[in-house]
Amino acid sequence: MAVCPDFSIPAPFFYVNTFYDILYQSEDAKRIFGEHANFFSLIDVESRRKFQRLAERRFEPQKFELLLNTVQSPAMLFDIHLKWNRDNHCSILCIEQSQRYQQITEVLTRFTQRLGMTNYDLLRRKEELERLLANLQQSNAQNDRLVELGRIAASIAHEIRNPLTSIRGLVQLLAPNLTSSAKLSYIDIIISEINRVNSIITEFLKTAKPAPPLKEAIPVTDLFAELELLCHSESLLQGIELVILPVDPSLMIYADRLQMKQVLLNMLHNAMEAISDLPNSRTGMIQFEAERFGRYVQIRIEDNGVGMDEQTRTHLFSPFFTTKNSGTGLGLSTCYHIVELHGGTIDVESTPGHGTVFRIYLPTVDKKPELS
Amino acid sequence: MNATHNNRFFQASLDLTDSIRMKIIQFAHILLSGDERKSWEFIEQQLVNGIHSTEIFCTYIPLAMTYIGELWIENAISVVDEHIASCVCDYLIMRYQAQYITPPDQQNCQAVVACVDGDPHELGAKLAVLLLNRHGLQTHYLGVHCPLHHFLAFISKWRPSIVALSVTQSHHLKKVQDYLEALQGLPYQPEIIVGGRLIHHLSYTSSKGAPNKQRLFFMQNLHELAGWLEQDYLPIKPE
Ligand code: B12
Ligand SMILES: Nc1ncnc2c1ncn2[C@@H]1O[C@H](COP(=O)(O)OP(=O)(O)OP(=O)(O)O)[C@@H](O)[C@H]1O
Ligand SMILES: [Mg+2]
Repeated sequence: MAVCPDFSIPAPFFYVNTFYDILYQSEDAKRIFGEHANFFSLIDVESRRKFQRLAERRFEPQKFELLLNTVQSPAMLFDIHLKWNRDNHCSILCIEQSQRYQQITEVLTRFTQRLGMTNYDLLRRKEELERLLANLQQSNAQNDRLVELGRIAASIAHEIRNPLTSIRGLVQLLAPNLTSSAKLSYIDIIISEINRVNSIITEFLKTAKPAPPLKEAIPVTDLFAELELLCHSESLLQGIELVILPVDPSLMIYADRLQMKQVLLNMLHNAMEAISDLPNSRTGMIQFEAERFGRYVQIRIEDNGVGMDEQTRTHLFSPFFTTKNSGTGLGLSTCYHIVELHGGTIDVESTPGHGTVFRIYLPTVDKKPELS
Repeated sequence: MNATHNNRFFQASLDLTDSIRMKIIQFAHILLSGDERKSWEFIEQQLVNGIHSTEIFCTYIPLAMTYIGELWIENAISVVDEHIASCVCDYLIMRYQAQYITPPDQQNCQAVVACVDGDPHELGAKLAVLLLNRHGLQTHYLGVHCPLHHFLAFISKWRPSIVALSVTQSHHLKKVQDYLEALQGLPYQPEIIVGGRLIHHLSYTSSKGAPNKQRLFFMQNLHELAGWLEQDYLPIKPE
């Protein structure tokens, strides 16, 4: 007689011959499936051909899902682990999926319900918006386009954000339940897609209508000091030499402090990214300096990063123009907008492979602005 | 996948050209990827190419799901993948209705659709709802967990002229009998449709005699419903 495996395993287990006659069956198997003479009789009719096909592959152990009729209910989902041995007997272990399965069902049912509540009209408008944005990305956006876009975006963004945010919350909640199913990538796609749309919209709102600047007289040296404070550790971490040259303390601009910081930080981040994109390991360097330039203050931001080609330079300030995988392409267009609102301008000079210089011109404050 | 006589997808797609079959397979893979947007783009592309929406809902979606069922048989995917593809189909159906079907403006209920209580397969039913709505019939869908007595209560209250029942799993087939018997007790005579791929296995014999034969229809697929709506269905004119 064939050597029998250990039947004390606390799981439904069958031992069968080539005709799938059941030779032995564990206690658990009896409890769950009842007594059967042949293994086929406990398989749901519609998955018998699956079993037939897979069980015939005798040379390697098989694992697959199968629907089995239990004493309790028909067509329950099981994971089957099946292995033939040399004397043409086969061990079949059946692990019920119900727990895992139920979780997933619940999760997806809830998600589907949410989909049912999605406002499809908004969705269509969102897609239109994105299409428009894609077009804009190609053409060099003019200011009136920007205004138009801003109008549309502002009307849509608020409405869209709410449902999207709630879906994201939901999906994040569900993610842990789905890990085992290896379908996380699906969830990831949803989350990142939603994040992307959200961030585009948020950023876009900023571009389209930056809050009217709350202007005050600011010594440029103050601005630089704050910048240094904010970025010192980050640049150390990236092994970049951040040089902020001393500025004449009497040099003042009349500007919104937060917006100016946003501009300088955007520039700094671009510079850091340009350096980290360098193929070789030359030491990255970023230098900030400021000096009087007629009625203006000129702020120079210089880096020795990858630089940019003609094509990039001409599209630089267009919203959504980016050469980065994860960029929104809104950084510089926002900067441009802000500086413009301050009565200033930005220009750029760059040599591919060597580096880039941005110059920001802002009106100086010679005397204290009159109080009105 | 091998084209064997045993393969449901190939059996069901025998009438189609190879190129449509390939399209459907391609569609099935998009569904499995869980990418709603791409799936929707696929649908819109077919519409642009001149494929009639009836084909999308009666052929493309059902056959893509059948193909997916065959992938499971082949052990190429798991039930979780089927779930994901089903979610995407749900999305497509809802989105199509939202975008292309103007809801009939009557405030009553002209048709009702439900799944046999306990059968979780509802894509067939949802597609039937879509076809009925598209035909201008204000249709209510009662879902997959609607017990028989709720179903009856709803029908008695609204008196829809069409009552449709969807059944997918073989072991739920016998319940259909209970439904049909109960529907006989109604104080009026709606058109009754029972839809399901296995419906030909059902031999309905009522203890109380069959419901009016003219008004009971067994349909194996959605093409039959679409055809029936176009040709045979004559709504009773409200007096
Ligand atoms: C997708 C799918 C699911 C999805 C359903 C999602 C949903 N929201 O509907 C999910 C993943 C949830 C699922 C779950 C299960 N499933 Co399933 N599932 C399938 C699959 C792959 C496709 C079904 C489908 O949606 N087809 C597309 C639709 C459009 O087609 P359809 O439903 O057949 O409808 C057509 C006709 O029936 C008819 N029709 C249907 N309704 C109506 C109504 C009207 C009015 C009309 C006119 C026509 C009509 O027209 C349609 C188009 O031709 C099939 C495989 C297959 N070959 O069918 C298995 C299948 C149906 N599932 C099966 C089983 C057993 C299950 C489970 C019970 C397994 C389990 N224990 O986990 C579970 C259910 C769990 C539970 N809680 O009970 C078995 C059924 C076996 C049987 N003996 O009947 C099948 C056949 C798989 C198999 N080969 O074994 N499933
Ligand atoms: N210092 C720089 N050196 C080289 N290229 C730059 C530099 N600054 C900007 N660029 C180029 O200009 C493009 C637009 O920059 P912008 O800040 O608007 O968007 P981004 O940096 O790509 O995206 P985000 O700001 O959302 O991260 C960049 O993708 C890059 O190609
Ligand atoms: Mg940037």
